[in-house]
Amino acid sequence: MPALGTAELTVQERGILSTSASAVYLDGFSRVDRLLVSAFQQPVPMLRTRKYYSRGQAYTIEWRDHGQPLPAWFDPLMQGFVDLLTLPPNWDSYGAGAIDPRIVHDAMNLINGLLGPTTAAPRVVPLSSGGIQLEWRRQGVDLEIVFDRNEQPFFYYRNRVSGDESEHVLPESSGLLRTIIGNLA
Amino acid sequence: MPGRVFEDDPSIPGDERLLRRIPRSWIDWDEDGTPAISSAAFKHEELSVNLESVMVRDGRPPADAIRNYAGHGLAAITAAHARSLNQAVARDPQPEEPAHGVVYGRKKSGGVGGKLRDGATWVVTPLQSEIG
Amino acid sequence: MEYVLKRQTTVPPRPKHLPDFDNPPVVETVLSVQFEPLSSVQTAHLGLLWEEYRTTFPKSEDRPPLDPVVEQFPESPVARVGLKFQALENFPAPRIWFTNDQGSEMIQVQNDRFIKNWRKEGEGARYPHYDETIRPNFDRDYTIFLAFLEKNQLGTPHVNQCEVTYVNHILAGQGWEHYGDLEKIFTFWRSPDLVPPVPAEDLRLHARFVIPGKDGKPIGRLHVDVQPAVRTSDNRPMYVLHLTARGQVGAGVDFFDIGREWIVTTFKALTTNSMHNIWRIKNDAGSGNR
Repeated sequence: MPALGTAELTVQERGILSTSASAVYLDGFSRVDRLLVSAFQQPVPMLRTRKYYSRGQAYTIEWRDHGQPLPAWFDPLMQGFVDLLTLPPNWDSYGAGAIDPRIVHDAMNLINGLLGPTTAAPRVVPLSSGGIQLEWRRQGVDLEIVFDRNEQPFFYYRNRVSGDESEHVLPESSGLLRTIIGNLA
Repeated sequence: MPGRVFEDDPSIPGDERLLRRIPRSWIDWDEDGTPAISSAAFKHEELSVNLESVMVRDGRPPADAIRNYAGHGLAAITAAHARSLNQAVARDPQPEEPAHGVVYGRKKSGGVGGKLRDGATWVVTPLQSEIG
Repeated sequence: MEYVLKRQTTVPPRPKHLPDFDNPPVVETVLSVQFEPLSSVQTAHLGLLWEEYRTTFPKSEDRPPLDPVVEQFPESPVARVGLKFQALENFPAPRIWFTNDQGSEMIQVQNDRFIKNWRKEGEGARYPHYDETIRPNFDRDYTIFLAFLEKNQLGTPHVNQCEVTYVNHILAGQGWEHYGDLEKIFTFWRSPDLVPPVPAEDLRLHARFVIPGKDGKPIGRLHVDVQPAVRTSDNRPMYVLHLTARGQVGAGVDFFDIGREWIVTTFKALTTNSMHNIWRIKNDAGSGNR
């Protein structure tokens, strides 16, 4: 994996007790009627950016959070996405085209809601059809999430120990997928 | 050429080795440097392979399939294994590759790509340090 | 969608056990449904959607998008806030406000949220009630949204979280005068026995409660936020009491009723009887709406 060059903002070491406690309140009307007098204000999400380099190209990824430390899966996952986007034509030696950036974007936003702070990073691999696959192979479990053109995303699960095997479409089965990912060691 | 349909060719015996080039994007090296193949390598509906027997007939070693592809590995599955997963195995010679064949059938769902991968063996093992 | 249409034609009775007030301090109510992002929805579609509401909501504004929020069980100490990646050449899908002329009702839409806000129009105005107005109107406008998505083949929302918010402005001069008069307002505060005795100057509080489902497993959280503030129009001191219930049950918006019940009963439990009398509490088991 190439060395990362980052243009990251300074990470603040605040611990945020809960995702939802620091979520923005939705009241759009009444906030203009009041002025808070307490010095203790609700934390405001900040824009963060990070650069990733691959095959001589640089990509910047932006997101908003409260400056908390990033989970361990963040960099490998983002680097994986960028590595796919910089694949040259015929990368598979069988005439494959470029990976569709919209598929990468959709995969980024779907996976965001599924990974916990300590989840193992999935591998990000390209498909010859222009789609992508996120995959885990851990402790006898194969888990693959497939994103492809003109197809609804889905995931495939196989437990080689128990023999269980199933396939589910997304986002309908996001809850199940979240549970399976959470159980990956 | 997308959109073609292939029928199974019974003249291809079950023990025929079907050689598949594996680019580095489909390889995951473990801590010991052992390369593992992603199921993505075997998910294309019209999966291109080289028929080893044709290469042998033409006096070409299997490694000739990756002659122009530095850093790639070369894996093999058998025709019988592909057929056991409801795939058709067909010849599809091309001017630039007379040994070209196709493993044809839906692979993305049902874990077929992974099961094809599970039956694959390395013919030319890629080196982790090799540039490709 | 069929379920939402059915609900529109009936006004379910208000649960009898819910406390009810003639003049509660609530100034804004919000119902929000969050779903998996509809990647096909672009800014242009939101403009088209406005046409569906324009007669009632003739004003619109652009806003930055909201991050997704899902209550997690269990919860890790260092949690992420919804990372929403705007990588590469894609621009973030915006959030659009559609507002009525009076500024009392609003729809907020982005590609993973549909939100309705109601505001109490002026100090003497009657607040629209949940069962009679707020919930049926949400259902009506959400149905329009769903129909728009279907007509334009933009996908079907898969709801992953619902949120109910009640915002209360508890104004000074009605049962209390100074920020330190906490025991007159809130039941949970007892002045500590300090020597010399010194009242608190003011209070800021954030409390959370896990909302269990019928099987005892968590389905959401109630967030309670108390902060001192002043009313901008006249600098009158107030305590802002925010109650937000967030969670999910099933595949639809059933959590709204559960969240509202938790909010209303907790509001009563957190505030004193003397404030209830000022807000003109009705018989707890009686009819009427909050």
